[in-house]
Amino acid sequence: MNRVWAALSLRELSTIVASRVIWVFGVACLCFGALIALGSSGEGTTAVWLSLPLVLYALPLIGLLAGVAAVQGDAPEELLIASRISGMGRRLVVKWALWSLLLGGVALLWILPAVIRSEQWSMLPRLWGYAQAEAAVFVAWGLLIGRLIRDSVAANLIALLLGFFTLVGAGILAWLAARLPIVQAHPSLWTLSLMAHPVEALRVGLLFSIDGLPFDPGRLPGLAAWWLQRPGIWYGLLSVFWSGLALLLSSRLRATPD
Amino acid sequence: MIIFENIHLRLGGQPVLRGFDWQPEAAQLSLLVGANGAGKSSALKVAAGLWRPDSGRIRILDTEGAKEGAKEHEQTAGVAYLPQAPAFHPRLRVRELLRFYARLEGQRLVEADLALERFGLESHLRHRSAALSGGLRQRLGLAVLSLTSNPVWMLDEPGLSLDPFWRRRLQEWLREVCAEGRTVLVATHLLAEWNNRADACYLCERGRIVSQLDVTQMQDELFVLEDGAATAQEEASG
Repeated sequence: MNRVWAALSLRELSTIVASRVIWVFGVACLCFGALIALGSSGEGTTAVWLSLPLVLYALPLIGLLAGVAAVQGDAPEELLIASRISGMGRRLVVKWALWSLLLGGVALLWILPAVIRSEQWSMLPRLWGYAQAEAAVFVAWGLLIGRLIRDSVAANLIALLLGFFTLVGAGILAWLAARLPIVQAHPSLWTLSLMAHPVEALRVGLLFSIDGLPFDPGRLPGLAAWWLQRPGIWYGLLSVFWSGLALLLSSRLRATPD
Repeated sequence: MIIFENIHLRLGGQPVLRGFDWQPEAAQLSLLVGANGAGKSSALKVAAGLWRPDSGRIRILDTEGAKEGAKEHEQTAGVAYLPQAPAFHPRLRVRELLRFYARLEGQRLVEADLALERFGLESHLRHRSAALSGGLRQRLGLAVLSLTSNPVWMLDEPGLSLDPFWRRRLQEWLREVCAEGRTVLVATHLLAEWNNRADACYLCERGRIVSQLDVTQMQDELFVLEDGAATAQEEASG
């Protein structure tokens, strides 16, 4: 049994090293990291602000595309592999774990210069942890898209659309919903929608807790206060939930192509 | 030894296998022939565990276990399958792919290198699979198959994209594999090439085995059968 895990892990590492997605992301992180390191200093420049473009824009899209690539690369070989390894569970877990870890590792090329530049070393583990948890969510959903949609172009397009919707669309919907009387009557519902969103929850968590934007928990609704006092734990649980859901759905799909 | 017992399979609402019963001899090279859509590949995929039949079952018996009372395996255990025109992850290199399957089969990595040599792939070991021709990919598939220690091997059209030299090598190699005690099943259309090289040949029609052919004159015999079927069809329609 262990040899299957070992074989799958080593194969996946080779796949990741050969992947264009990971190289493009790596070069982009290196470039932005260099810009941050060489950039002139200014007031209000914190590690969180310097890392926001990475965690808000780059990681979700790259995570989705990486997940799609991880599944679709195996598609031509599906019959051979599936006749030797029954079920998709182990394969999906290995893909998810290794792609997430590697994306999180590459993201350090961006986060590290941000931390060095702002001289906020204490933020490194928290920022990295958030990035890692976020990568896990979006790789898992990319895997699901790759399994659902066999055509590679369509799958990548859907992944991009979902990425853009996650970045922009859900925020716009929440903003519009906030104007509805029924939502205004139940502010906890609106807060809950923010809390459940893998990018918005990260944004709020980063800005209010790590970056220390001032807030008084006593003046917030109970749910929001609870969340902002434990954003890291919440985001960890959220990551496990969304990742687990996507992996569960992926493994339930039919295992082999026609 | 492998036994197909009354396998029924429907795909997209259409019956593909209709009571497929087959018990090829153990440690022999058996051919499965028939027209397109007869159900050859589907039967192999069911036996490989890729498709779940609607009813019926596959039994794989150990040659040794059979003497003691027929030990039954899980469906996919004991079967090695090579699909028609095998393809691989386009970004992985030949050596990486073979090493993956060697690890999966619990073989030492040196076995992967030996398989490379056996199928003339030494000069391609650093090539990505996307850069391989159809024939080279087929040879890579055969190299992957050679790494398995399973007692039953099933190959779907293994000679289709090979040149005459490698087709001959394939047939010789499969004979050696049978001599080692493995049961080899080959689904093929290239009947004339297998004359006198297979131990048995079975004709599959409309999802079931309908007859056994003479392995010394298979092409002729199949033509006679096809003519008979065509005549019967004409009589039925006319």
